[in-house]
Amino acid sequence: MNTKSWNSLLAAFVVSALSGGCLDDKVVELVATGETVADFAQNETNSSWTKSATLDVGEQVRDILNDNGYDDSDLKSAHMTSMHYGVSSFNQAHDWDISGEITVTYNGNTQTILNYTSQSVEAALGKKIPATLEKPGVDLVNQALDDFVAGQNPVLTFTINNGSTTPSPRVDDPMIFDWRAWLAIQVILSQEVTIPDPF
Amino acid sequence: MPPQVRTTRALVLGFALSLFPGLPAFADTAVQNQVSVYSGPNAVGYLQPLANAFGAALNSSFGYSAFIPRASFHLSLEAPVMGVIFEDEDKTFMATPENGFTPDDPQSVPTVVGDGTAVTVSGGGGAQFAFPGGLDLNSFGLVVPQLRIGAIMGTEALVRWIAFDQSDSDVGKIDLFGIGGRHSLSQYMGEKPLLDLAVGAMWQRVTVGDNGQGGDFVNTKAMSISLQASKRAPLGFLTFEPYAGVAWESFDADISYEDTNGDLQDISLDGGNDMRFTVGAGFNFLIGHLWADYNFANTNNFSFGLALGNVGHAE
Repeated sequence: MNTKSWNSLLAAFVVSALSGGCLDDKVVELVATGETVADFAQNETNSSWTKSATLDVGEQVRDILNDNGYDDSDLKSAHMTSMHYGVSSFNQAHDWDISGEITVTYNGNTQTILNYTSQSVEAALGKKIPATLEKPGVDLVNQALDDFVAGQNPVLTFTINNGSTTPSPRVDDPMIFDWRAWLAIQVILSQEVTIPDPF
Repeated sequence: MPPQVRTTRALVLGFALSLFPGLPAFADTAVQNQVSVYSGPNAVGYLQPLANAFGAALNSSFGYSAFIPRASFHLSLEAPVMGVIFEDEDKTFMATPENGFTPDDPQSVPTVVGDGTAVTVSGGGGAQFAFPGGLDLNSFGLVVPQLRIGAIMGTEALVRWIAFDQSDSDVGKIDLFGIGGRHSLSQYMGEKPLLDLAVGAMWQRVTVGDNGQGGDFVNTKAMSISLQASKRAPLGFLTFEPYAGVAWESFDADISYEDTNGDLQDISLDGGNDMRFTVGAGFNFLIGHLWADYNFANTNNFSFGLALGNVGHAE
């Protein structure tokens, strides 16, 4: 074999080594997290009160997908990860301690998702406090998420049922504050990616 | 040599070089998508095997021969292929659930090179936290064109460079520049030294991808200082040249990416290697040099490649 042939052989070797099978198609699961926020404004003159907010599950999950550059077709599953709450505005001369529960309603079924006991309004100001979750409520949220993945358009209703307030608010001493609830949802996406895996 | 042969050869080499340098850039979107759910130590643990591989590969293939003439013009265009095969231990790491999920007990989950299936754990009240899958990689590969030019007073220079920006495509963008030099020690060891010896240093900077907010996804710096020995042995029209070396090296990577809430996350990683020992061998012929070596370090790797130019090493 002469020098020219050797050089051709070497060049062919390099090309085949470099190009052969270095890009692979793989199916991988990635995770995106999104937080839904619900704001409430309280101006109460009684110890016990109720307030509701609705949540369009489909809209929230689509927001998570769109924010991360995906669509419904990539979605494999979704679940609730955590819930937080905190007071966003409070400017009164004295504090209030509140106790009660937050429930979730879906398809006519209502379950408790968290209980709060002797929560100081002032202590929650500017905080994002992780909630201790109740399984029946979480299961109901997850059922709604499963139904969305299955093609439905579920809507959840969250209701705060405040059972007691200390001291008791009055007309001349109303309890006034704004608060926020965060619901964290994760979606698992299945994607085919083409990536280098050369050896 | 007829001009047509030279042209064909240049085209073949050009084609080969064009295939590989963008491989890290090709993966950057996939990696950013996977890591976007993580922050802080979780992101570091997730990406560490890739940083180790990138650093190990980048600090490879500076020299395949310690022979550097005292004074002669030589020029070679080289295509080193640098690879790492991932071990089982690279495939998982201990991650902590985020977003206020309780309990936050560490879990064994896939790294970026690990299994592609997400891992979901259940926590308080039936809530769940999912850790992303990896990219299911067996290996990491890097090819960078490099130009070697020498020699003055037994010293040669080496330049690595590749830059392109195809951010609108899957290929992404990469900008790599490296510069180094090697100096012959054996020139001070008499007319016929038993071995060729050389010391060298190489500095490299690589940026890959876009973090979505105008910055780089990956910004790395690598440095290597090496001592190499080789022995030339004529073998027909070839010269067989086994070599060995020891090197100190560093690799730092700053990673910047958008998390799933659109917030920028910045983390820093170190490559796992401090010292490496190299053994390899090459075949030198009049207009080229073919070599292969294996590098023993915390992250082992191999390299092989082809140099084309007036690189004849025959005595």
